[in-house]
Formats: sequence, C-alpha cells, structure tokens
Amino acid sequence: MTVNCSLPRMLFALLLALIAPAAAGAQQASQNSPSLAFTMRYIQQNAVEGRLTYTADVIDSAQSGAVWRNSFTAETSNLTADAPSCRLTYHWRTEVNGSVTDDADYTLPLREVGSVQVVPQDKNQALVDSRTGHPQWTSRVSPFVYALVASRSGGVENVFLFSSEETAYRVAKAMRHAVELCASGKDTF
Amino acid sequence: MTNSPFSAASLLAFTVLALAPAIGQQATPPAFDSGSALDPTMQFIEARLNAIGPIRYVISWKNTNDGSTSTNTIMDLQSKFSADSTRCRISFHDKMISASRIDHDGDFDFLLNSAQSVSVEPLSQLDSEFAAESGSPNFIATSTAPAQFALVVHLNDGKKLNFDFADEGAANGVSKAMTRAIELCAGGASDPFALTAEERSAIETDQQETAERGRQFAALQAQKVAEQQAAEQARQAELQAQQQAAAEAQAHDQAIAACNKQCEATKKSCLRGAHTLHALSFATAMLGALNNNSDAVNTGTDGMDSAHNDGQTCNDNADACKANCQ
Repeated sequence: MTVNCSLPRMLFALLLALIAPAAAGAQQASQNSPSLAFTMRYIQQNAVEGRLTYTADVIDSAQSGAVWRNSFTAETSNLTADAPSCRLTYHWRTEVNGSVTDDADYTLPLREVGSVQVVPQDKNQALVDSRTGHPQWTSRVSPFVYALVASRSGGVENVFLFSSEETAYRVAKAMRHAVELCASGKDTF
Repeated sequence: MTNSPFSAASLLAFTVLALAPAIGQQATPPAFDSGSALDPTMQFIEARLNAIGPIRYVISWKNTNDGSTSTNTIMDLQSKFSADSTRCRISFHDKMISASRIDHDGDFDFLLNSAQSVSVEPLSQLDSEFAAESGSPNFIATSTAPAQFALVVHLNDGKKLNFDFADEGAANGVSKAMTRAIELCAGGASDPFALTAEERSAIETDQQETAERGRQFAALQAQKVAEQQAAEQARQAELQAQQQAAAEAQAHDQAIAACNKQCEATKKSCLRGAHTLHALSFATAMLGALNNNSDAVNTGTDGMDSAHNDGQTCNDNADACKANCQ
C-alpha cells in the first residue's frame, strides 16, 4: 500500500514564536568563555548546511502492511545571528515529494529558548508524528540527518538540520552558550 | 630495483603537486594575507589548488628488514577544486595512477570545521608514516624525485589527508591560508565549542542507537511487506474461490435445465401415445353409436378412459423426473 504523506508531517519544520519566559536557570558566563559576538558569528557560520535531501520510509504499526516512503528536501539560508538583539533570522524552505511545504522567513529569539538538543531525525520525526496524532508511525531516515531542536514554551520549536552529527553538536553547544549569555545579559560586546 | 610489495599511492589519501615552474604555474604567487576574511581566504585556496596540473614523481622505498629497495612511479591529477565558504567545505576530484594502475579516481571533500590543524612536511616522511600506520613500519620512503612537500590536514577524527607540492614555499602559503580558513570556520584546536570526549562518546552512543533502530525498522518493514503479500494472496484466493463457486453454480443450473428438458421431451412423447389412443377410442365409440353397436361403444369408452389415465401417468412421471433433476 502506498500512501502519500500529508502536510502535517512537516510540522516539525518550524513553528512561529509564542511569548515564552527567558531560559530558566541560565548561568552567568564565565569571563573566559567566548563572547556573545563570537558565539553568534560561530552559529552563523556553522548552522547553515545548504540544501539537504533525504528520504523517510514510514511504517504504520496499527495498519496491516502499511509502508510508504516520503522524499524531503530542506534548506536553511540567509542566516543572520544578531548579537545585540539575541536573535537568529533565516529563511527555511522545505519540499515533500516535490511539493513545497514551507518557504518563509523565521526568527528565533534566543532569550525565549528553554532547551537546545540534537536528535537524530528519525527520532525527531517520531516525536512530531506522535504530537500530530500518529504515535503508531515509525520512520527510518536515509541518509542520516540530525536535527538541532531549539525549544520554547508552548511546544514551539525551531529546527536546523545537519548531515554531520558533530557539527550539529558543536552548533548546539554554541547555541546553548548564546542562550545563557542572552538570558544573563552579562555579556559586553 | 623491484616494485615495492605495496603501492605507495595507496598510502596517500589525496595528493597534489602544486605550482611547479616546469608546468608553467606562477613561480612566486602573492603571499597570503593572514588577516583575510573567509571569502578571500577560500578563493585563495581554490585558486592555488586549481592552478595545479597533472604531476609525476618517483618515490623510492627501502625495506629495512632485508635492505632491499624499490620504486613507484606516481601520476596524480587533482582537479575541480571548489572552496565553498558558506559551507566551509573543500571539494575536488582526484585521479592517481601508481605503476600504471589506477589507484583511485573519484570525488572527495572535507569540512574545514572538522579540521584541527595543518602542517607541511617532506612527502617521503609522510609516506613513511603512512607505511607504518598501514602495518609496514619496515618500509621507509627515502626520497621522492623530484622533491615533494606534503600539506597535511589533520582532521578531528584523527584521520589526515594531504596535498603535495613541489615548491615548499607554495605549500606553506596554502597552509597559512588553510589555517586561517579553519579558524574562520570555527574549527581547529582552538574551537571553544569543540566536543569533549564525553560528548563524542554520546555521539557514538547516538549512532549505535540509530543503527539499532534501523535494524528494528528493517525487521518491522519486512514483517509489513510479508503482511502485504499475505493479504494480497488471501485476496487472490478469495477471488479465485468466488469465481470457482460461480462456475460450479452455473454448471449445476445448466445440468438441471438439461435434465428438465429431457423430462419434458419424454412427457411429450408419452402424451402423444395417450392422445392417439384417445382419438382411436373416441372414433370407435362414435362408430359404435351410429351402428347401435353397444360393444363398440363400450370398447371406445374404455379406451378413452385408459387414454386419460395414460395422460395423467405421463404428467406424474414428468413431475417425478424433474424432481430428480434438482
């Protein structure tokens, strides 16, 4: 049986901002840690991988014999990491099976970020599917793609995709540091 | 001299000979400005590497176990260098021929933010290191002719790759640019966000778990495909059974119709005899009446009764016959 993926499956992409409290428990940056300006520049230089293409084979465990495949492309572009405003702005474009599902500019206010995690995209997809009412769906992503998920309150998430898990982890580390600096307000440029 | 027991070329991941005056490149390229931004730095690297054409050299080996010597003639062409400053990626094509056999021929790339450092050393020294790392520490590369210098890029995962230059100064220039590019791409040993051993361990665990999920998925997928096939087989079997039942029903109906037809034919034949008897008996009775012959009248009347009974028997037999057809 072949079933085309519906638009809701792409909800993992990016959801727009809601007002959220500043990251709780943000620690004051040590004097030896990288400055916010350096960190933001680091994010700007490393968080954009260009156009990523991958496929997801999906199984519906609740439906006998239900297996299908979706082809994805995702591209982050024009990323600007602005230290004074503690914001990342960028353009995000995605296609599912050749149809454009998202093509818009997004903003990530770092002061509102509660957590930054790196998740293999198959796990991330399972979380998104579960939230959208399809906990019985299991995906296998090929080639491996890694999602950096910046979470805000109300379930709002911004996702950046990477082909390199190491790069994803390093950018996540930098983003957590930027979140701390932005929340503490201690950084001087 | 004999060929060494292993290919020198196979020890070299990527090899480039740069800026050899003999093949017409610029003998004294402009020095690299260490304060350059990423874009001009990447452009510098790309231009310098793309200026390289095909190179040939002979590498000499000594086997310290028995004192024997050997040589390999290497031809290498690296081309299509692209230094992408957006992705901090350098990509290129490399074709290497060692002792007249293709050692490798393909597209390669690496990320500058996955690099730790860059160094320049004699190619013979690097080849000796590769030989040792490949399990043949007894093979020492004693020289290359003409002399070659390797620009070695040390990657975060412990691997290294090299680009070869005839001009040590040119190698140092590109090395300087690449070091700058690594810094600007936020790689290198000074990367404040480089991963700790613990974080690398977490990545390995991640990858193992992902691989395990992949195996589980494959098993589930095989099960689902089997379910699909079984469902299809069941559907086909059901369809076949339905078709067979329909054919059997049709054959049964046809048999009944044929049987009924036969019963009707028998009945008609039977009734024809009864009708004949009745007609003859009626005629006998009528003639008897006209001639005042009471015997003939009685005979005719009895015959008509008998014919009537025969006709009834024909109908009864036909009904019984049809009942047997069902």
